[in-house]
Amino acid sequence: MVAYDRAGGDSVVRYKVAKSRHGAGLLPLVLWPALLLVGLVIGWAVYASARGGFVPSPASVAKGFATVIRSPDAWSGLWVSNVSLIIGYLISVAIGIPLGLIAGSARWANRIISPCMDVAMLIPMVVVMPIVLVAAGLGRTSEVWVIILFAVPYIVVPIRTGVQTMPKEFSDVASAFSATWVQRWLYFLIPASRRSIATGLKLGLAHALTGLMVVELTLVALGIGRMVLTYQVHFLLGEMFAYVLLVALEVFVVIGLLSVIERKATD
Amino acid sequence: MRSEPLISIREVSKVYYSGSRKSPSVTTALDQVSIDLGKSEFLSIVGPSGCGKTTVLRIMAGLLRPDSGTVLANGRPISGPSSDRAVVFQRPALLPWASVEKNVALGLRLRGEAKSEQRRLARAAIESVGLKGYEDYLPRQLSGGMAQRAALARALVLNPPVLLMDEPFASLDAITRRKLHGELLSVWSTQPERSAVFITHNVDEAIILADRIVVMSPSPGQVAEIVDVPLPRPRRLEDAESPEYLKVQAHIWSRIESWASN
Repeated sequence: MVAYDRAGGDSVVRYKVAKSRHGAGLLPLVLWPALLLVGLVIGWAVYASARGGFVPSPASVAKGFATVIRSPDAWSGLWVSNVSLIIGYLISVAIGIPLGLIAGSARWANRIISPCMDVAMLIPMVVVMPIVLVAAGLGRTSEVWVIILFAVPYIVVPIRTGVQTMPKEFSDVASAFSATWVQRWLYFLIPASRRSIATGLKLGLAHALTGLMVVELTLVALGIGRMVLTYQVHFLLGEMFAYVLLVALEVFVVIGLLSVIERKATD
Repeated sequence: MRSEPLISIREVSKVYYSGSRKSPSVTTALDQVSIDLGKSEFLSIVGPSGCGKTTVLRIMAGLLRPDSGTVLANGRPISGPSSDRAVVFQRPALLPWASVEKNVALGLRLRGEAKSEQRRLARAAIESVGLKGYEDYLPRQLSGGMAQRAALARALVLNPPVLLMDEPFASLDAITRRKLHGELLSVWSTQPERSAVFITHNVDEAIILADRIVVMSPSPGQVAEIVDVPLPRPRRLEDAESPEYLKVQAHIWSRIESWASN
């Protein structure tokens, strides 16, 4: 509950956040997700038994998880993919943030950048991937290129929109103080766009991950993709599901961290 | 006899174009406007909406170029904004991510002042507008009146010879506005060497604050009359009850009402 205490028209507005009853809310907070999880596992077990071995049971996935986390190959696969992801994502960020800021602040730049981003977002990237492979070969370079193609538009577009919706008053203040071009960027444009930058970083990472998975599972069998395909070929479905679960956990942690950054930027 | 003007605009005209190519719309915001701002003078520009008051201020600030006419500051053409002419906008436009102190120190920071100097001058300016104790507050924690006072401090901290204010109290309630009039008069009484241009559509505000009032007529914006305010300085809010005040008030209203009835 939020209580407002505004003492007169010209005094500070104080917000008092009433203490919520955390004690009373704890049980439903834990109980309902736990019940949901138990229900899902039971449903999964029933479905797996009905499919007669084509879908691994929760028990075999748990066993597979124990095997996967002890397997050096599994960790090495994760590492190989993560290196590609980190390189591709960092390059995407280095390209995407300035492009978004320029597109949002200069009309001439927006006329050039926006159509390219629209095409990149609308065209199915799977169609472009073979061209990248022909140009860059079957290896990490191709992976990095695909990640960049997937991530950059989703970094640029929110940042561009954020800058375009920046209040005009900030521009007037910058002009009135005779701010230089660099000062405009450092003291106005970048801080005012921090929310959209955080959103762009999060969306960009999600799409970079998608690009990585698509390229590794369809064209370049490296890292995570190679491990998933290996488990699949050897019909180790428990291990395969467990490995996907491990990747999902990693994604969950990374996206969670970016969400914290986004929230901090919004405060 | 007035000394050489600090800012002088001569026969300035400004036209705004809008609409599409097929049906363009042309609005003459200013037509042959001439106004001088003297040293240590508080000049108010008053007039109905759309008479070009804000356009005059933006031209004086160097934020806008006129289509014709000359604009001089200290006898030299104005080619752009300058720290000699600080602007207080209609909306405070404080940076929401920065504290009151950092907002007030913004101009000093952009000018490259040392951090210790920024802090010292910003704190003094904050105190001068009655915001002492709120240095670390964020703009969202301030009321409208406090935010506008912080914006005033942000302009005053640069110690500019000319302060340009564009309806700074327009969005405030009557009580807060009256309080800020008192505070602005108080700040002015301590810095009598400074000049100011104050844009408003509030006749009472113009009279209580200004030495001279430029009354502008609408469509196109022109100077209808320049009225001297014969109230002594330092001013007090109680001067609004004096016969001189009421005479000027009646005169300006008669001019404005004559346009409304036409």
